[in-house]
Amino acid sequence: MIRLNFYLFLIAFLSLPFGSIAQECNFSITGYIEDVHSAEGLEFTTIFIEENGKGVVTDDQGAFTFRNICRGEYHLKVSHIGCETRRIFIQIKSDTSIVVRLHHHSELLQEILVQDEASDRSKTGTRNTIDNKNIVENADKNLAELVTTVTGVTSLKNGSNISKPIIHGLKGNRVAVLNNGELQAGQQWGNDHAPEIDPFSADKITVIKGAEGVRYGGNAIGGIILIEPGPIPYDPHIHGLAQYLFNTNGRSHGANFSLNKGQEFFQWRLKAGYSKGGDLKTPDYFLNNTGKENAHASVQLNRTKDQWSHQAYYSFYSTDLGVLRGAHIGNTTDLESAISRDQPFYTEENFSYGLEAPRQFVQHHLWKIKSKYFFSDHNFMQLSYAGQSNQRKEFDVRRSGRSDIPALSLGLLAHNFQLIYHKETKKDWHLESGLQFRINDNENNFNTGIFPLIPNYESYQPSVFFSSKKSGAHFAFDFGARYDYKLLTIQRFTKTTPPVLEKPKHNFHNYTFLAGVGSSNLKNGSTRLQVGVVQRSPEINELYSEGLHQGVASIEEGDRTLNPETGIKILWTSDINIQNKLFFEVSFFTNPIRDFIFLELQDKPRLTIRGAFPLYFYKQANANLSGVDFLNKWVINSQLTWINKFAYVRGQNIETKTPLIDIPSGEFQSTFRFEKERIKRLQNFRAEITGSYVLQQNRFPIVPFFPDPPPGYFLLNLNLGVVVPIGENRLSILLSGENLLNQKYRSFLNRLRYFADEQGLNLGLNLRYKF
Amino acid sequence: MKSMYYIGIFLLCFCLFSCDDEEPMEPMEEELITTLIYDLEDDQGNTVQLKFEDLDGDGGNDPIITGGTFQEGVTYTGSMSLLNESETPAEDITEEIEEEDDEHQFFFSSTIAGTISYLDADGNGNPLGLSSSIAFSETGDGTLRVILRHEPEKGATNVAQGDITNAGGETDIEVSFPITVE
Repeated sequence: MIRLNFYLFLIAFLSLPFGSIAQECNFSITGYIEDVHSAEGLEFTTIFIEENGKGVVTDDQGAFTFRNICRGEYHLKVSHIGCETRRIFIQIKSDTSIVVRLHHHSELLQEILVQDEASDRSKTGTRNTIDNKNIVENADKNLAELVTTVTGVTSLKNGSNISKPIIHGLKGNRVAVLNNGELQAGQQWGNDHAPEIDPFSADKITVIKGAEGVRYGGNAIGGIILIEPGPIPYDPHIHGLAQYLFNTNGRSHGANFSLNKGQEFFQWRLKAGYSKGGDLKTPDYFLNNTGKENAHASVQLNRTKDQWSHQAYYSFYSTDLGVLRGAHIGNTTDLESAISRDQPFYTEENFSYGLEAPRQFVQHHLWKIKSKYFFSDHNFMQLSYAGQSNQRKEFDVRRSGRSDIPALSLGLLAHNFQLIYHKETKKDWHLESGLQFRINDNENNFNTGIFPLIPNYESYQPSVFFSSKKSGAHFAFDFGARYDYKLLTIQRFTKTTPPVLEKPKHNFHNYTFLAGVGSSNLKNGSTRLQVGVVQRSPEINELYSEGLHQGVASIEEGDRTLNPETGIKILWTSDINIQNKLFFEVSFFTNPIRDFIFLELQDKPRLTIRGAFPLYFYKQANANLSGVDFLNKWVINSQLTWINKFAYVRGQNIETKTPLIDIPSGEFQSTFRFEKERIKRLQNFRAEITGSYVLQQNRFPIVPFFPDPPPGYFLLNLNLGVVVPIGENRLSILLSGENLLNQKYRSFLNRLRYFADEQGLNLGLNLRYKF
Repeated sequence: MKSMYYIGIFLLCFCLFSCDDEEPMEPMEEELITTLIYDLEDDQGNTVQLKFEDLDGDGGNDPIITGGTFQEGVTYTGSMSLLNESETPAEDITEEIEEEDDEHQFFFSSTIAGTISYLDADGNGNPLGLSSSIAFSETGDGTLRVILRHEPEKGATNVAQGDITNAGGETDIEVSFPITVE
């Protein structure tokens, strides 16, 4: 008897520290794993409970069940071939049911009719998402390179380190980039100014091809890129990721880490990274002075309490990058002699990490606070303030030791205040209205010793918008309108002797409209039609730029009498899903733009002491862009997938009947992917080979001195990935080969194509440890 | 409580913003070269002056270019001077070139046949061109072109002989003078 009591005591004692775990072990966890794209259950998904080692596989409906689970806290690991493994924290107090959505077809359009999709999304639009897995696997790429994986998106490069995204042929001032909901306040006007964002700071990146500027503003005639930090998963333990990256071409090393913790009412996430690389190499020679050094960091804090939810966010980005030394030229004679060479001037035998002029040093800060008050589950009010500070310094090769003094030094300080009211009616209408007030203050540092390219300015932009949408199981409607007023005050010196300070002012009124319809049958696909009208007021460079653009040896002059341009983008997208085996997606668009602002070459060159330069004035004319995007995915069997993409866009100045500048040529891309869920201890093995063929651009404006576009080229890339489980954690190894054939080529969309070849073979190693 | 917090931030930002109302500083064009004067003299003391002058820099008023008349078969000794006359007093850029003589070289070419040679050299013994000599071997009207390159590859093929083809670098000056040879 005593003995028995002792045992009872022992059992009670042992179970004390574990709370009441031992007492109730009759709970069940049931669940359903769903493909975000088709909303169908995902068969053969493995669910594994880390704490007790139990595992199950989903049935053909995507359902699973665990029985006899004790009360307590658990981590579920959900893995499916081709998807990033998910870790989910749950607390079991009773029978629990969960639904997990996996993004199984990341190439495909984001499905429009997922019911609990964030409510600010237009469901008639055409949007592609680059998920966290893709971002992390490509963490050594810049934002523009990353988004070019989306059909119809290309990039304009300025050498190897600077690229700007092009959506359906438009870029720069006509593509809005939003970081955590804030319009990126950088020097977007410059063709050699890349967006100042590190993609690693994002959880997902969404490319919107339509003119959905109602909610976001920002002159989005061409399209929108959303960089979003994403929700922090509920898990009271610290989890995260550490990453190391290496590339043979440029011998770059990089490291990133991310940490997050999500308690019931408070969540945080911290991310940071650093990378450094040296001179890149074409198949034949080093590209002198093409190294770069990047650093970034971000912090996200979320707090929810009662009806309130608050977010604080800060991100920092810094880049110091070199521009090919041989591309720095003085005038058109230099340009001609550079063009006639096989190898650029200043090409050196040896590799170097050194950075000298010409180079760019850019830093960007973003800080934001956002509070939401929920009146009910779907009705809320949101108030936010965000500030941004952008510092850009560009160094040129100059006389008398002035190469260390920036030739261009700009500081931009931006503020944005926003108030949004969101309401859902009983009849499933989502209504949203909002007020915004945006202030930008751009200043030159006048110690550069060079007359500034753009003057100092301040802009004040109050805006109001309204949008409404309704979506059901098989249809969606969308309507929205926006009005922006913009007051632009300029402070500039005239180019007279002596210079005189003048302070002109401009007022602009811009209207934006959006209307769309969508129809969908989840099993077979959907069709969407969207019409967006966006007015864009001329930017500072179009009104006032004045001076020489080094790399292209031309003088560009703004015109202060320019009017806003009006773009109408009509976008039709259809996708067909044949039994989850064969997918087709096709988009057609046409984008007529009235009073399109462009640079027009003048007959008479400008004579200066450095010789004669081609002279360009900003002019307006009616233009049109049209094109098609096509994607086909064939799931041949559970291991083999074949994806084909094609995109083409045509841009024309209707008045002069000449092609627009910098329009991408047609591009074909084909990818074979082999995946195997398990090879002995290794998981998620993947081999992927991609061939892409870029056609020669035969439509281009004729410019004296400049040679015709380079011929088309074929590139082959390879990726090999595998996951090694280490205890509860995972080490992912990715080996990549770019330009495997070491093809010597030049790209039409590289502004330095006159001077040097593109990069040759690169082998990359990407290790990431998820814990 | 929350609203007070926001109002505070609004006020702070507006203050920061409104406090920042300084007048911009007048830009100083430091590297500007407004004027190139090429003084030539034969051994009889006859002089010719070629001059390029653009006092307001790029744009604005057109530059004033003054050509000259030479005698066939006569050797002229030339000296180059560069000025920034947008400043008072005018800044002598020739000194900057002399200080960085290894990073600069003048190149000459003429549509009228003749011989043009360097009379000076940098610290490494490579030609510079602030001092030069010219003799024309035919008569007629034509142009004489003067180019100043910054950071040329002075060691490249024929560059030391005054051939610009392989020189590279950036053009700091490129001017053409109308000339007559009698």
